[in-house]
Amino acid sequence: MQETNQSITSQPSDISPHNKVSKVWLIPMLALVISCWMVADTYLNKGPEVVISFANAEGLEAGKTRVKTLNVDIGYVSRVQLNESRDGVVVHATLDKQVSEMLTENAQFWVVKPKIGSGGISGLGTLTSGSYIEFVTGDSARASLVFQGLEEAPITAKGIAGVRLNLVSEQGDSLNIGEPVLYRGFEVGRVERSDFNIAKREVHYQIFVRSPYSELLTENTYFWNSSGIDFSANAQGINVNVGSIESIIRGGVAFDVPIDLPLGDAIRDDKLHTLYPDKNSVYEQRQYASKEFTVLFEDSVRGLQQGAPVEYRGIRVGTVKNIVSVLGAQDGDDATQRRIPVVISIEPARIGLTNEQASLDRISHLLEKWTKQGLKASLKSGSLLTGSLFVDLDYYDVTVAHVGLKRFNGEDVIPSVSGSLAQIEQKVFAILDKFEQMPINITIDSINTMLDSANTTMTELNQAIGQVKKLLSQSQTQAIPTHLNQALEELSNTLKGFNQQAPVYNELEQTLVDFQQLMREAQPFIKELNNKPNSLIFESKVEMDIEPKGKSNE
Amino acid sequence: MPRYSAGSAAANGLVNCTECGLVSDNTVLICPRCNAKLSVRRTYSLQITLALLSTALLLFIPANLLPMMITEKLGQVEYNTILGGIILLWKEGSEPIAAVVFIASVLVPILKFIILFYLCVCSMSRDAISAKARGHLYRLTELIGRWSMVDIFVVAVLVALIQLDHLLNVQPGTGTIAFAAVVVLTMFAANAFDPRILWDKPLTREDQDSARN
Repeated sequence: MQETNQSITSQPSDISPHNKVSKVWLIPMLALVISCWMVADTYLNKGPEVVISFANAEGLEAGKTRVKTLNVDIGYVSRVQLNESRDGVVVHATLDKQVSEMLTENAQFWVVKPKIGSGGISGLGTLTSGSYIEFVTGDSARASLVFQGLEEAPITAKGIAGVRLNLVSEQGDSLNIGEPVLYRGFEVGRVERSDFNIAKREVHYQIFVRSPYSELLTENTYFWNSSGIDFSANAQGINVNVGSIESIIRGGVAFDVPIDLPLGDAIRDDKLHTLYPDKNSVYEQRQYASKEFTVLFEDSVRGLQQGAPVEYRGIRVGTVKNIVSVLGAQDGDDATQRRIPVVISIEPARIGLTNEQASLDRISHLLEKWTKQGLKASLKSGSLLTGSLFVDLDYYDVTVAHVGLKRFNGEDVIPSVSGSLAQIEQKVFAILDKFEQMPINITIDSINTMLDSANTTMTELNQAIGQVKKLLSQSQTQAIPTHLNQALEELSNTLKGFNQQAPVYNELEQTLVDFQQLMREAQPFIKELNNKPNSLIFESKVEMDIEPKGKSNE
Repeated sequence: MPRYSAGSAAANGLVNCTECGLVSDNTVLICPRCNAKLSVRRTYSLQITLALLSTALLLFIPANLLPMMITEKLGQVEYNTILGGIILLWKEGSEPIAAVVFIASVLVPILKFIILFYLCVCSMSRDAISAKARGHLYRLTELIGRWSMVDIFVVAVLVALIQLDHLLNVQPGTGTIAFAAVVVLTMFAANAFDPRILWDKPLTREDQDSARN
C-alpha cells in the first residue's frame, strides 16, 4: 500500500507542470476593474462645481455646509476662501449632476440663517442644523458656474408667477423691502427693492404682485403708501386715517382703481407708476388732463393752499395750481384792480368729460359760455376750524348779461366775486353805515312831542273821573238800591201763591191724577182699535176659549 | 533540489504536516495522522499572498477616503473617515483613544502590508536578512493581524446602539466595507503565505526554470 503510494509520489515532475501564474491574480484584477469603474463612475457623475461670492462666510464651513434647493440636499460647500481683493469670500460648492441644468445665469444662492425681523421669524431649523446655502434656479437660458450670492433670501423666489412693477415716489415714504402689497387690506405681494435715485431725488421701488392677484392690476390702478397713521388738515377738515396694525408697524403699498374710473386694460409693467403718499392724494393729485385758468381775487387768499379744490356747488371740478404773487405785474393803476392772480386748473374728467385733449378745448368753450351766463369764482371757507379756503364757482346775477372770459397774462380769466365771508363782512358794514345815516334826532323830537300830548290827554282823563265820582255821591243815585229791593220783595210775594200749600197747586195735582186714571181706562180700547181699526163699526169676534177634551168613552 | 537550505526538512526528503505538525517522508501525500494534504511547499503560496495583498492595498485607498461612519446630530450630518475621526479625537483631547484607533486602523494594516510584502520579496531576492529574523517578522504579522478589526467593531457597536432618529444616529459608511475587506484579505494573505519558504534560499531564474521542469 505504501509502496504504491510512494511509486505515485516519487515522480512529481512527471505530473503536468503548474501554470506560471496562479488564477488567484484574478482577484486583484477584479478589484482593480471594479475600483476603476467606480472611479470612472464618480467622475462621470460628478456634478458641476460652482463658485459663489458672498460678503462674508458667516455660518459656512467647507465640507460641512450643504447646498439645498427646496430643502433637497444637492451638494456641499467644498472650499471657502477669500476673494482676490480680500474684501469678500468665494465659496466653492460641489453640486449633484441632476441640478447642472438648473445652473442658469440668474440662479440665486443665499445663506439660510435664523432671522428675526419685522416680517417674522425664519430659518429656525438652521439653529440646530447649521446654516445652509439655498439655491433657486433662474429663468435665463444661459448656463453659468459663477454666481453672486445674495445677502438675504429673495422676497419672492424666481419662478413664481406674478407681475413686477416699478413705482416712483417723491416723498421719503420709507417703504422697506419685504413690506406687503395690499389690495383692500389683503396681502397680494411684496416690496422687493428700493433704490434712491440721486439725480432725480426720487425713490424707486420694485413691487411684486403674485398671480392670480396680478389680474387686479389694470391701467387705471393707482398706488399709495398705506404706512402708519395719516393725519391731515385741509379744506375738507381734519382727517385721521389709521391702517391695519401690521401696516402701522410695517407699512406697505396699497393699490386700487378709483371708483370713478373704469378698470382699463391690463397694466403695463414697463411703465413707471407713481406711488402716492396716501389714499386721498390719489383722488386729489392723480393725473388729470387739465386746462388752466386764472382768477383775480380781491379778497385775502390767506388759507388758500396749492392743491385746494375748485368746486362748483360742492362738486369738485379742479385744483388750485398756483397763487401768483406778482403784484407788480398788475393791470391798471386803480387800487381796486390790484388783485391776486390764482391759477386754477379745471379737470374735465371730473365732470363727466373724457380725459383727453378734445375735452380741454371743450371746457374752454363751455367756460366762455358759462361765464357769460354769470359764472364767477369766489373764495369760500372750507373749514372754519383750519381756516382753509377753496375756490367756489357759481352763478351770480343770472339775469344780467356778463362779459365772459377776459385775458390776463395770456391766460383766460374767470371773473371773481368776493367770497361769502367777505360778503358778510361787507353787508355788516353796510348795515352799520345805514344805522349811522338814520335821522335819529328828528325821531326823538317827534317822540318827545308825542309824549307831551299824551300828558295832556291824561290830565283830561283825570278830570272826567272826578266828575263821575261826583255823580255817584249824589243822594238820588244812592236811593236806587232801596227801590230795587222793594221791587224784588213784591216779586217774591207773587211767587208764594204758587207753592205747595197754595190751593191752586192742590187742584192742579188732583186734575193730573184724574187724567192719569182716564188714560189707564182708555188704554184697552186704544189697543183694540190699534189691532182692528174697524172694530168701531164691526163687532169684534169673540174667540172661544179652548177647552181640554177628555178621552171619549165610546 | 538546491534551493532548500541544508538543514531543512525538505532538503532531507521529509515533509511536515501544516495541520498537526507530524513529519513524514516527502513521498507521503496524505498525513497518516490527520489525513491532511501534504506538500513540501504550498503551490502558488507567494502568488496568492501577493495577489491578496495587492487587492487589500487597492481597497485600502477607498477604506481611507470613503466615510467610515455617518453621524447625524440634530439634523446635521457628519461624514467621518478613519483619518478624519482620528484627527477629530486628537483635537478634542482624547489623545489615547486617537492613538489606539490610529494604531489599530492605520498603523497595523500598513505594517502588515510592509512585512508581508517584505517577506515575499525576501523569498525571491538574494540579499535578505537571516531566516531567524524573517521568522520573527512572520510571527509579528500573526500577532498584530487580529487587532485591525477594532475599527469595524467600534462602528458596528455604535450603529447598533445609537439610533435616536434625527436627534442622533450613526450609520456605517461605505468605507467600512472596504476596510473590512482589507482586514479580511490581509488575514487570508497571511494565511496563504507558506512560512517554510522563509528558510529556503532565494530563487534564481535558473532555479525557477529547473523547478518547473
